[in-house]
Amino acid sequence: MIRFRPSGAFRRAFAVARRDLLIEISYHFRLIFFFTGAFVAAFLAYYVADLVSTSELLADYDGTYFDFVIVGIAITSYSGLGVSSFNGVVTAETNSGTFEVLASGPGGMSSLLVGGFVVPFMLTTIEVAALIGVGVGGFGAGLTAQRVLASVPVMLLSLANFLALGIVSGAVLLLAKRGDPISGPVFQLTLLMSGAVFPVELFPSWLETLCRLTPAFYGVRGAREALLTDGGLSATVDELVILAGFAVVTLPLALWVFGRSVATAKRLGVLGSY
Amino acid sequence: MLTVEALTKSYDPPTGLVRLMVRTASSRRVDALRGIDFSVGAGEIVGLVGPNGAGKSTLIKICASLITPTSGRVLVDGVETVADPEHARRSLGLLLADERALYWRLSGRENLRFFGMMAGLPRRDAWRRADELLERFDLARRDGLVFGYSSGMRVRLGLARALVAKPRLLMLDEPSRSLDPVATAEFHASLRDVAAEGAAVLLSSHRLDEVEAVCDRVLVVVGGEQRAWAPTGELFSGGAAANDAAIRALFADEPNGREP
Repeated sequence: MIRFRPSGAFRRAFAVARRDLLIEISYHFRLIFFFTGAFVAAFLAYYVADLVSTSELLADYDGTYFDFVIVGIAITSYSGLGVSSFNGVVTAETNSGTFEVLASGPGGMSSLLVGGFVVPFMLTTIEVAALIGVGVGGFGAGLTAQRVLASVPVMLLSLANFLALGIVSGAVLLLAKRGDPISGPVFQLTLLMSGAVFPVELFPSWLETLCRLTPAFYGVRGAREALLTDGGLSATVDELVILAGFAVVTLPLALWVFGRSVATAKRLGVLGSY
Repeated sequence: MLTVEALTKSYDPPTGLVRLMVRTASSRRVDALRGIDFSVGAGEIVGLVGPNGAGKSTLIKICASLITPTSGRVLVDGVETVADPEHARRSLGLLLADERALYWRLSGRENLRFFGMMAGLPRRDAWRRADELLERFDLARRDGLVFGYSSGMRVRLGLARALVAKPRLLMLDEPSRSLDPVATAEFHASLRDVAAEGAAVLLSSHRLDEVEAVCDRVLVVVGGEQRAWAPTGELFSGGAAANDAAIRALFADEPNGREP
């Protein structure tokens, strides 16, 4: 006898995550090179840091340029995940021809988006952990487990803001099918305007002001406060409040845009086309 | 089980910002369906017949709430699909014409487990149901990654996937086009079994022999218009030549290019 339970959203999200893991594992060759990126990024950052002298602009952070840039790279990895994960789900399901089948099932769409985020998040976290691990173990970055823990809330709230952009990106892709105009530029702008690789104080004042209007700036600054100073979680309170404020506005707005996109795709009959 | 009333679908060309993003097959308004009325009862198999571009796939996708109708309504198990699509979808099993609608990097068993859980089955039930369906469709012995399946095996797995949650309404869009004669006969037997278990079946097909063999009633759609809605025996029962003549008469004056 088959039983139906109303609280199936978690189960469906688990099913999507499990499926993604099985598919990921089936690509053996890709897994072999999974950690290469982390090693290369840490190696590159170490020697660039060795080349440039420590700036007085880094005095606020209890670290060297190497520590500074390692944190920047880590958080931009999450920004890349946030802005690309949803359009990744939409593209993968459309290309495999399963999008319409899942959309015609109960609760398929929301579970698909939530569950489809889990494995990419796990993989990114493993990559970031490997990057930090290589940085600390191989090159002597001054990051401790306590500091890493203190950075988790600010990382998650940063991710929530990037996810909002990712949802909008998925909404665009649902209609346009290719040529997502959001995730690529957002990732590049994040690298530039968040202060991930150099302090934004180096910019002209108008551009620095513009940087301070983006959630990415507060995400990177908060992560550095947590990871590179002894202030702990309390040092990131300002950033947490600002990021939460952004997320309260951007997430519902993004979900509304996605809903409109689905309705438009159904009206035009292009939900499953590619 | 499935009731379709005065159903109409027109595709208007996109406007504004959407026009920049969406590419549709036609830049003009396309009337894909006009005034479709039919029903499929529990235990009944209804054939959906029409030339290419008649609007059959659009009709099935509207019934599955994948396309929004312009007017009219669709009721699945008494639930209106536009007003409460979430509820209506719980009764649905769908097999579209796209053979790719499976995960080719997973085994057949893992595909069925996944779709079972997505249909709302608890994990244990989804596992058990996957095993049952693999046995039933003779896929258990040769279960491997789906990219190694033959076309016929994929169709059978697709049908198993559509049946995974024991739907009360099963809709199939040209499911037998890549099956050999033996597999076709087995497929027809499976359809009759599904109907005998109480499911309503809507079967879109280009094969008159198939429609004649398994369908209780037939809906003929040509150029988006309903040309016939009758018991199968009334339309097709005079042998191959007579059936061919009958369908040619029904398809007469068929305008092309109705579907986007």
